[in-house]
Amino acid sequence: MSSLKSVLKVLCGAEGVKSAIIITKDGMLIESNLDPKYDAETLGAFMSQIVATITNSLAGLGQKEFARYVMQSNQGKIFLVDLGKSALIAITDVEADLAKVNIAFFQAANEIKKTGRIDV
Amino acid sequence: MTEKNGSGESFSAKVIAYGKIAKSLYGLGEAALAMEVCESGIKKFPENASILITKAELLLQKFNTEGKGELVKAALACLESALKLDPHNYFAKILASQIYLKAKKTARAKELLEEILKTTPDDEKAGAMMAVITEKEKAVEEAKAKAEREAEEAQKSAQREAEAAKKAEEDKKADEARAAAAAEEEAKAKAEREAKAKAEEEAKAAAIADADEEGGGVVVVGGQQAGGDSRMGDTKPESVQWVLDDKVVIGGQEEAEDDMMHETLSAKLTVFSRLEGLLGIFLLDRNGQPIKVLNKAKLNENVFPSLVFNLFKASTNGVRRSGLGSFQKGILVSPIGTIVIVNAFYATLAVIVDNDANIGAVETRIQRYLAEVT
Repeated sequence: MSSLKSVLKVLCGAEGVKSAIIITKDGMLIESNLDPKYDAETLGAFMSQIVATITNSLAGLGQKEFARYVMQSNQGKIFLVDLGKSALIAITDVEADLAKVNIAFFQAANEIKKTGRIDV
Repeated sequence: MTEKNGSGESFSAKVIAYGKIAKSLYGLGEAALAMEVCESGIKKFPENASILITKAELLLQKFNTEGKGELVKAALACLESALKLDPHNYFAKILASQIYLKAKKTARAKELLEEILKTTPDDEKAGAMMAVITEKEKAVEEAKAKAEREAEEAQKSAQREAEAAKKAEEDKKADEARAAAAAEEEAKAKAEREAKAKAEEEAKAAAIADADEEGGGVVVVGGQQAGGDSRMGDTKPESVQWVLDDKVVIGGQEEAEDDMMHETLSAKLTVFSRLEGLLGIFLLDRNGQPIKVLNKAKLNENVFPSLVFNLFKASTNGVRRSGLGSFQKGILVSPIGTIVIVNAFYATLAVIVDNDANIGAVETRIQRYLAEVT
């Protein structure tokens, strides 16, 4: 069974993926493999707000969870996946191949779910 | 989920039409007619929050010119009803909190603003109002502490006064007792003197009576009265009147310019016609209110615009504040479908397709749309 740190390292080894973190849905940092130019706490806090917005709105539509949310900015892409009680976030280059990152991202998400350490 | 009418047109399309007509009539000075149109829209679409918000907007515009408190109360009722139907509606929350704040009902204003700031902490409008509330709360706390200190001081002073009064009363009583005793002694001595004199006189008289046969007597009475004071408390009843001290800011200043842009943005949505897997399109104004809705899959027309707008705001804020640049596009994959959100020149566009649809094709159409509306 892989540790969360090693799962994030593998994810960040994928083409175009620069950084990755795991947060609880209320914004607490669980694990990170982050480029030093980003602040893990800040990133976790703002990403948790996005997760809250999505889950609150989906609740109004009778849905509890979402599969993923990808944000594109002028500096890169931010992938966000719902892991139940936590969320996995990855930051990629602007030119990163969406399909390839998606595969690496879901492999990481599955590994994390397998650890059973977060979604209790 | 929302139903469609017989013609296949979504409810939102009609609701938006009602709203536009009402606003146009109001702009032409036909306020009563505008309200009637809103009422009619609300009757026909009682489950739609958008028309309620439009009515509230018009009532607030009317209040800004006429200043009648009941217009604000009616607007607030519309906004609260809209929030029941669409609890995440940004514009309804902003307008309602503004009214509550100006009517000095800060608790509810704070509640609504906290909901907004929870997902978009740098929202300018909500942040500014929250700052006012915090400032007011601080002032109230300070005033309360000052009043408490003053009350404590007054209580101590009153206690000191009461003690002094008690002592004075006791001294007075003692003086009175002493005076009474002295008077009693004096009276007794006098009586004794008189009795003695009388006895002497009687003796004398007796002596005289013995010779001439003559006699007489006297009585004296006195008293005193005390007074006091009383205080009445302040009993001003708290009035609950919807009289605001200021106008309500409803929307942006560039209304006419916005309208023209909205027309263009709506007209160019034909770019998405025959897009495979298309479930719906929501085009929202800068307040998150629908400008145009194409709802092919009976999507919930209250929740979807709020979801799209709030997610757009949270993403814009989150990406910028995390040092990840400026937000351009968001793709949410949910059990309902895939929602692609982009900024479209002072408007927010959301294209919803089923999860099997080709996202590349959707993105190409969006690029084409944005190029055409530029």
